[in-house]
Amino acid sequence: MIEKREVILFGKLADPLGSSVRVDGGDRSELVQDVRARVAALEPRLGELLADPGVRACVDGALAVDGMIAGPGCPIERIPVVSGG
Amino acid sequence: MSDRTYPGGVGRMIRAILHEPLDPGLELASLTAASGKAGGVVSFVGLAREEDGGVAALVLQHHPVLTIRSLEKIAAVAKSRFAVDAVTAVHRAGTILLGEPIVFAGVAARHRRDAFLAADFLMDLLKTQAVFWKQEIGATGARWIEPRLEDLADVARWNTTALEMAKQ
Repeated sequence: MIEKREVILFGKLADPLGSSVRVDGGDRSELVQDVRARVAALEPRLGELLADPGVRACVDGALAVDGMIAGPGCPIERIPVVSGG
Repeated sequence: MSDRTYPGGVGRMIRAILHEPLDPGLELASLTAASGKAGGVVSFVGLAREEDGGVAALVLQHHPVLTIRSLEKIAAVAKSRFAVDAVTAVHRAGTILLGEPIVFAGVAARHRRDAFLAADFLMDLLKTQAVFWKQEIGATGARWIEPRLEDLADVARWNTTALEMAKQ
């Protein structure tokens, strides 16, 4: 059974805890926003960064709104505002 | 390693992410060779430059799916908006030393005005909408580069809508 869900962090979101964190809840379907709240609670600075409304979620290579469901074991990526090229 | 798409022939678009040095001459020759009945080619080569003192390199992080998709959309919007025959958008990722080429944007068109405008448009979109996260690396550590107001003002000149981007 998969018990943890991987959350992959891009850009400056990776500064506090690295580019990948694992949180509980990986064995069930969850709202993207619920996973975000759990990741934000891991570390205060990461919580601040994730509170930026410009930070978006990505599931299976597609942007995902907070109300979307992430299936069991499905990684969620969090991407901050881009620097551009 | 590179991440390229080559539709080929006249009307082609090349969008690529390079993890190796970018050769502008090679890209220009390739674009020119594919320009078909175009009357001219306009290209722009961006170089990694220092924003503040003490910077040794830039590091560009990209996303395995969203970055190439963003380059595809940007190139497609440029091609749909202007009368151009070919579009090339090639961008470095990874560690880029100061002075090294970081981006190549080129277009081929029958008429020079279309080529100049399309190249300008292409670069404005690449500067603001290409999915990269940039860090300056220097003696005192690393600093993330935020979007620049000047770049956002530049792209606003074109009135590019989210709908236009989404259509591509």
